Amino acid sequence: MSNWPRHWRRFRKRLEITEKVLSIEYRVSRQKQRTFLFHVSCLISVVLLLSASYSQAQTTYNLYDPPLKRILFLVDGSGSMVGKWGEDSKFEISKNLIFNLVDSLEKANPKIQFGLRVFGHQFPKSLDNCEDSKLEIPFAAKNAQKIKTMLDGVKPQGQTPIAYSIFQSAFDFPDDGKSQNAIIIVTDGIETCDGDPCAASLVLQQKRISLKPFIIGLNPAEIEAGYFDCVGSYFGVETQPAFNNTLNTIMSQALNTTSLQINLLDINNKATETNVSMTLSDAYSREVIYNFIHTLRADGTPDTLHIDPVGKYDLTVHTIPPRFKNDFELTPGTHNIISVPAPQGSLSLKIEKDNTQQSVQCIIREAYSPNILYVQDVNSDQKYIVGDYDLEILTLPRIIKRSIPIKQSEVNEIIIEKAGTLSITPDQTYIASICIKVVDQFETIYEWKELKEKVTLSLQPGEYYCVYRQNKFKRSDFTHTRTFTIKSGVITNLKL
Amino acid sequence: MIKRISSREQKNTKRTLVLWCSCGTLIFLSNFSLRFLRLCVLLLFLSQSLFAQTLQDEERTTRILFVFDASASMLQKWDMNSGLKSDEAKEILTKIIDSLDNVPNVEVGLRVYGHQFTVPENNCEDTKLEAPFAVRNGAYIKARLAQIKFRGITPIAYSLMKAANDFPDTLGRNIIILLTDGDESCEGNPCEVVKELQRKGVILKPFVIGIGASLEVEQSLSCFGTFYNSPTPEMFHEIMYAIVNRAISKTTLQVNLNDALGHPSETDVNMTFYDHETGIPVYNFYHTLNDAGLPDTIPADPVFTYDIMVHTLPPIWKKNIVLTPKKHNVVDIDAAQGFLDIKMEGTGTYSGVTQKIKCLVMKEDDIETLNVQSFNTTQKYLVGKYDLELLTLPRIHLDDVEIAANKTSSITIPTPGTITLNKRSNGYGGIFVYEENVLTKIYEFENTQMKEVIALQPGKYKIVYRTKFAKTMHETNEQDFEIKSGESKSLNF
Repeated sequence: MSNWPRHWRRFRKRLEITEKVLSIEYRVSRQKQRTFLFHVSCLISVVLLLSASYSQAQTTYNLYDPPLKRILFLVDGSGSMVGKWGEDSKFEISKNLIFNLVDSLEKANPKIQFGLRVFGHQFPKSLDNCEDSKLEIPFAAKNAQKIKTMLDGVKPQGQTPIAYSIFQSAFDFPDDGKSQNAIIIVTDGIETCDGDPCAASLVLQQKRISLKPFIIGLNPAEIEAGYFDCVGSYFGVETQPAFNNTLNTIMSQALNTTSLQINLLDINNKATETNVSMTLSDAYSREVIYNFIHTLRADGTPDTLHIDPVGKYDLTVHTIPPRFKNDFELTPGTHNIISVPAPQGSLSLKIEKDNTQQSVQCIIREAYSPNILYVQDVNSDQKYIVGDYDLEILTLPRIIKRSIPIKQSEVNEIIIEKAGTLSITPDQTYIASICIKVVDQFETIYEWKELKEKVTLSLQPGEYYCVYRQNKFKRSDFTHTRTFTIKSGVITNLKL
Repeated sequence: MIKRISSREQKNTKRTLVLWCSCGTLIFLSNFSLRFLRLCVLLLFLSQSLFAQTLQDEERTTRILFVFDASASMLQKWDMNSGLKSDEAKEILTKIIDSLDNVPNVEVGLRVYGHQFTVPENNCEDTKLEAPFAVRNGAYIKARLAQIKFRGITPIAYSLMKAANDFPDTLGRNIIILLTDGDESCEGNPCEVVKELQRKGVILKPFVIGIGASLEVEQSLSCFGTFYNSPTPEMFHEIMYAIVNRAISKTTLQVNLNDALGHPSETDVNMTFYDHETGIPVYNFYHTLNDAGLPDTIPADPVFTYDIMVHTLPPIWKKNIVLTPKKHNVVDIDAAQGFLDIKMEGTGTYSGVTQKIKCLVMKEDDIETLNVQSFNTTQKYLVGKYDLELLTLPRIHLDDVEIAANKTSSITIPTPGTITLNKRSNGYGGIFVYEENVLTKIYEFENTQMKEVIALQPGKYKIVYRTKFAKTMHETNEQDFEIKSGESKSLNF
């Protein structure tokens, strides 16, 4: 596996793409001055974000070297959080559940770190501050108590700037390029600042900064169904036990390893195809992330990859022609199976070589298509996706075979007759050509403008015509047409 | 001096005589006839390289075989104002034979069908050579014709098959003129028979003239080319004279292959002349400019309407050329051409794996390969745009390469480098190029070869490889490398 070199050039390209995406997103929603200011600040933050998180965007890891996991809590400190579930406020309940979870996980696993960002807690709603969002506890080991103490002092009161907070959270993850990151948003309402949480989340995905945010909605009745679907995985909870269960579910997704199994399906939809090279690339930036040769394990099942579940992937299976599975996501913490139909059979081109003949090539095209798929050397086998192909074998004359079927796991053997040799001995200087006759029509396949000494030419077995005229005779009617036969592996002598 | 394309020549060349001449030149001659030999020997003294010579056109005998319908249906009135078809046709045929009797180098034969057996007898082999070819046999033919009874059926195909043996086995201009009022009545296929005779060179040209034939007959026998139907005896008379006249006239032809300026300067290209009506090739002529730099004059047989195919790349067809008998005919064909030069340049040697690299040339927007051109060669093409596919690794596709008149378009690519791959064990994988974020496989390893030598264009490549014994994907290896022009590199993995 490779760690891709991190060039600034590539980074700049990504930056341009992201800016484009952002300006499109925001052109739509930019109506009020407030939004405009937010837009400007978002662009600035993205630029900063990109420089800050550059190396995270390139994160790769595998199972054998489990990465550090960082989980950022984005907690709603808006006024509505003071609302009560039973005896305690929603904010109180959130605080206690988060503390318990962080405390137990930190103790159990030193490779997990937590951070805390709170929004809507610094300014009262009347001040309408849409940048009221702050990283209160940065990532570090043993943060549980700090988080609890901090939340103890918070008085929920303000707006709900979710989009802005998501953007800002990109800077909260330390730039050491080694962690796998997740964001958990705890909120009881929707965006109140005209921001676009979807666009914010998309940037995190495109930069491969974090898993899609997990959103826990504490007031599902007031959150429109589907509102958070484009942001991440949404869970609506109405009771403390449900909240607790949801947190645990999210944790297992964020912390467990994610695996990917790619099934290359044969014609019967069984995962038997293998030994094909594959490329996984980033669906947003198109950058290549991994190259693999598909492998079956000893038990005959496709081998499993452990890859970063953040972001979206494109898969190219380098069969001939290639097969694609584009724009797919992995469910974090689970075993993901991606199936790609790649039924293959083989084409075997055989010719008995004669010594004078150079190696012969065969042009492969999909039936009735002008595009060349592959150039296969004669005397080799090559696998192709099941289907019909046109073959153009570059012998003399060329042999064209149309709609040659390739069937699942079968070898279609095309045997080309061994060429024969034409040996021409001229006694004078001639202009001469070799023709074949296809249904009464002459077709020139080779020509000598000045034939003055003995030459040999490899030709496929068959009937030929030699049309020739002495160069020095300035009369067309001195043209002669001679027929001759070429037999496989035999030299045919022609004296002019 | 015209030599026709035919397998008869081939047959005869097997009986080749080798003459050792005083001038010391070894000469192969086709032994067609004594007369031919005599001529050749005569010409030997005029030039040392004479085997290009065949018979002088004037020396060749034109043989016309009339294949005449004497079936029962001929005993009908031709039209309202005329007598029986049988009487009228016989009378006109007699006149024609009279007029041909004194023409030098023309011989006439007569084969009749449907005259020996009656319709109820349904004899499908009812055909007979009534008058074989001979000099001045007009009186004899007329006498035979007078005795013919019109009574039977119409075995055309069988008659034509038999007609093949009616012509003497010496070189001549053999022409069949079929005169019929009805269609084949014996399940034979006259079209196939007559085309085969022309293909084999037994006959030069078939004609068919309808004696007041129906539309169905006309359609059925139109494979001869034009079906010259004659609804009246007067038309029959006219057509007979016109065809016979074409058959016995001397005519010359000059083909101008014009360049971009309209000057007939293009030359040295083979031209195949086809019988327009049957599609069968009759001559090959290598186009020649004479000493004055003009296209030379070819003695051409006016018996044909020609389709000319000029073997340029791509070929040019000029169809439906009717020659005016006894005149010098000029045919103009636009054939402006330029050159395409395909080269490899650089420090490397042009040999081994690089030598097999070819270039496919396609006419613009045409999917069929027009030509396969080797590197370091120059080839002539008609002016126009071409698409090229250079079979290098990776392949190079060039669209719309312009070939201009009398100009050379040069395509130069760097000589490839070669990479030798030494594999510790067999496995799977290939060579990839990485362009604009897309990884494309350009070569797949032979999984049966431990060592492979591959020619690659200069550039950066990636190898992805895994031994065939691996059971996990993490055993996949990647290796980036760069190849420079002419460089030889080897990689072990």
